[in-house]
Parts: sequence; C-alpha cells; structure tokens
Amino acid sequence: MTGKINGSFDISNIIKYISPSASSYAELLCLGFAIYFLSKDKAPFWRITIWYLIVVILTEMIGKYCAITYRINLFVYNIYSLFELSYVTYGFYTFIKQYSNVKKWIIGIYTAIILIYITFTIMYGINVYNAFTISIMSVVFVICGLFYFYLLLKDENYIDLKFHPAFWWVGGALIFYFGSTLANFFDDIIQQKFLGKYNTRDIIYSTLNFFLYGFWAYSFICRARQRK
Amino acid sequence: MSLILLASFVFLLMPIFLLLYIRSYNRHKKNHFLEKQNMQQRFESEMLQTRIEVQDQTMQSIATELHDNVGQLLSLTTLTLNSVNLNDGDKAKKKIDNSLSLVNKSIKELRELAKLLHGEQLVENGIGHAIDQEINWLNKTGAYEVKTNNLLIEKQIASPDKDLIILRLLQEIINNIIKHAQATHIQIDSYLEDNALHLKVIENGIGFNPEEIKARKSGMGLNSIYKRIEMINGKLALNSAPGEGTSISIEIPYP
Repeated sequence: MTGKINGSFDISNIIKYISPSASSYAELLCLGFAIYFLSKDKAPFWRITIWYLIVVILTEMIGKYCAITYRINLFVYNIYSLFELSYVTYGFYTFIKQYSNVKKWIIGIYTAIILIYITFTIMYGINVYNAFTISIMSVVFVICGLFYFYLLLKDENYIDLKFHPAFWWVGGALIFYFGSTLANFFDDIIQQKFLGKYNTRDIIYSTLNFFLYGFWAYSFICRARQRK
Repeated sequence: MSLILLASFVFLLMPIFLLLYIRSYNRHKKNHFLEKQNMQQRFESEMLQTRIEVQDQTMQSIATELHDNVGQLLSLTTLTLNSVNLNDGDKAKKKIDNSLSLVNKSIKELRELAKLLHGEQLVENGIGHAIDQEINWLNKTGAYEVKTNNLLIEKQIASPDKDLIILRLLQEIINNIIKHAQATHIQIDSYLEDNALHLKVIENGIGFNPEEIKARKSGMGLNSIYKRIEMINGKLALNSAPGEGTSISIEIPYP
C-alpha cells in the first residue's frame, strides 16, 4: 500500500484523489483478474481473495479521501493492516498446510501479532502509523514464504511451478514483504525524502506493489487453469 | 537516501533470485522425477516379463508332464483294458485292477499338475514352497542326485515382487543345468541370514568360463539373471571353470 498523502483541501481534487493513482492501477488490474478468474472458484481462500482486493481498493480511496478531508489518513491504513494480516496469514496457512500441520503455529503467530498491534494502538493511538507491527508482520511473512519454499523443495513430488498458483502467490508476497523490510525499518526517514518530485516511499512501494499484484494476478490465471 | 533505494532494490532482487533458483532446482527435480518414473516403468515391465517367463515355464512343464507321464499312463490303461478277455475272469480282474491303479496314478499326476498351474499362487504361499516345488520337479526327472537344504519353508515373511524374481532365477539356473551342464549331482541351499535371502546352487557338471560367456552377451540367460539381481539390489557370485562344475551364490536383501 502507498498511503500517507498530504493533500490540500480542494473539491476538484477530491475526485482526482478518489480515482486510481499510478500505484493502485496494479491493484485495480489485480482485482479485475481476480473477479474474472476466481469468481467461480469454490475454495474459500480464492473467494476471500476477491473480497480482500476490494478492501484494498476501498482503503486506497478512503485513504485519499481522508487525507484531503481530514488531513489525516493513517488510521485507515492501520485498520487496513488488520485485513492484510488476516488475509496473508490465511493464504500462507492454506498453502503450507498441504505439506505440514502448522495450524497451531499460525494461530499462535497471528494472535501474537494482533496483541502487538493492540498494544501499539493503545500506546500511541490509531493515528500513528503502526510501522512496528507492520515490520514484525513483514518478517513473519518472509519466514512463512521461505518456509513454504523449503517445504516445496523438500517435497518429493514434482510440480510444474510455471502453472502452480501457490508458487506465484507466495512468490509475490515474498518479494513484497522482503523488499519492504528496509522501507518499514526506515519508514520515518524515507517518507521525508524525495527523488526529484517523487517520494522515496512511493517509489519503493509502487515497485513492490507492481510485483505483488502482478504475481498475484498471474497466480489467479494459474488457479483458473488448475481448476479446469 | 539513494542508499536506502539501492538497498531496497537489493532486497527486491534477492527474492527474485530465490524464485529463479527454486525454478531451476525444480527443473532438476523434474528430471529426477522422470528418471524415477522411467525406472519404475522398467521395473514393472521386467516384472511382467518375469511373470510371463514363469508362466511359460509352467506351461512347458505341464506339456512335458502330460505327454511323458499322464499320456503314457492313460495309453497303458487303454492297452490293458483292450486286452481284457471277459471269459477269463481271473486274468480280466487282474487287468482291470491294474488299469484302476493306472487311472488312480493318472489322477494323482493330474492333481500335481493342477498345483503347478497355480504358478502365481505358488509364490503367494511363500518363496520356500515355490523353491520346494521346483526342486520336486527336478527330482522327478530322476536324472540327478539332488540334495537340498531349504530353510525358507518355515519362514512367514514374503516379498511378492522379489519372490517372483527369485523363483524365476532358480528356474533359469535349473534350465541352464539341464540344458548345458551335464551334471549328475546338484545341491540347492536356501536360507535367510542378516535380512538377506541366500540361494546357493552347486553342481558337478562340465563347467564353463564365465568371462567368455559374459562377453558373448547371448549365453545362457546369464545376462538376464544379472539384470534382475541388480534390479532387486542383490548380489551374485558365480564360480565355474571348464571341467570343475559350477556354483552360483545369490544374496538378496529380504524381505
């Protein structure tokens, strides 16, 4: 997610901000792919994916709207983090459970992150960007992704990865969360820095979003193919 | 700042390289998988071939037995019955009794044959019984002095695929002895030791030069014996020299 836009209060700009920005084009495109390829899917995870992507788009819109209207939108992204945490955790659970029984671990980790999130929110309020929880979440997701790949490599059965939806989904998530680790750690610094007229944070996240949603969109195609 | 951008770029590249590595590893896995599948297919086709050969051998035994044994007995019965003179009561009774005993003998022989027909079941009863059956048939020919020490009969363990191959190996070895060895004395030992099945066949035939036979590549089904032993991770030791008989010792991980 990009987020954190400092907009000026201007009615003509509201419409402009609600319409998709460069980075949310990837999200919109991914949602389009999800609706087209996954709407007939019976598996709960892939059905939830469509709803999650709708939440992503709505978050972007509400985020921008709030930035203009209330001059603060961090709470929108903080709330969105909960959706992100739940969806991605569920995704990893869905794929890892094919190889190993990790239900207890996943529930434990999920609960721990939620507790950290709540503690942070109580301490600093909902309007402070919860970079701490998001950093921990990223690290956990990177570990989950690497663990999935480890299990995939260890498994004796051969799978054609070119058309294996789980591989691409986890691949996208791994690139995004691994790539964003630095950005999360130095969140305070990079959002003040600009490369020309572009915010460093925007550059990093736009690139990562491009990979994340690109990989996911392709995983939806693979999933539709697998279903056939 | 550009340092952070650069570092982020590296952090972005790392998972991409990881994905590429996984893909390339997976390709190796695919090759390995295909190879394994191939080996499995070869194993199955070899098993099928073995099964066919065992059946073939059984059929041959049956044909020989029908022709040489049951056929002769029944012909003799017909001749005896034909020569019965009903006017001579005593002689007729004797001849009819003789015929009856011949028919009974035929029935016994046929029962034995029926047992043989269950070639597959032979193995199912355990490799010990299968080996025993083979030795019985060899004994029946009367051409050899056969000494056996089959300790596998009491064993309860089995390994269907290996049993079939072991039976076929023994059949092939016995065939070779009958066809080429000109032996008069055969000793067959079989036992289990240290999770391995041992089968030893020693005969006092004319012997041969193993290197020569191996190089010929056509001889005596020896190559197929080696191939099958290798297939079930077994070992074969062959000792022979012209004029000095042959001993074959087989060791197969079992079950």
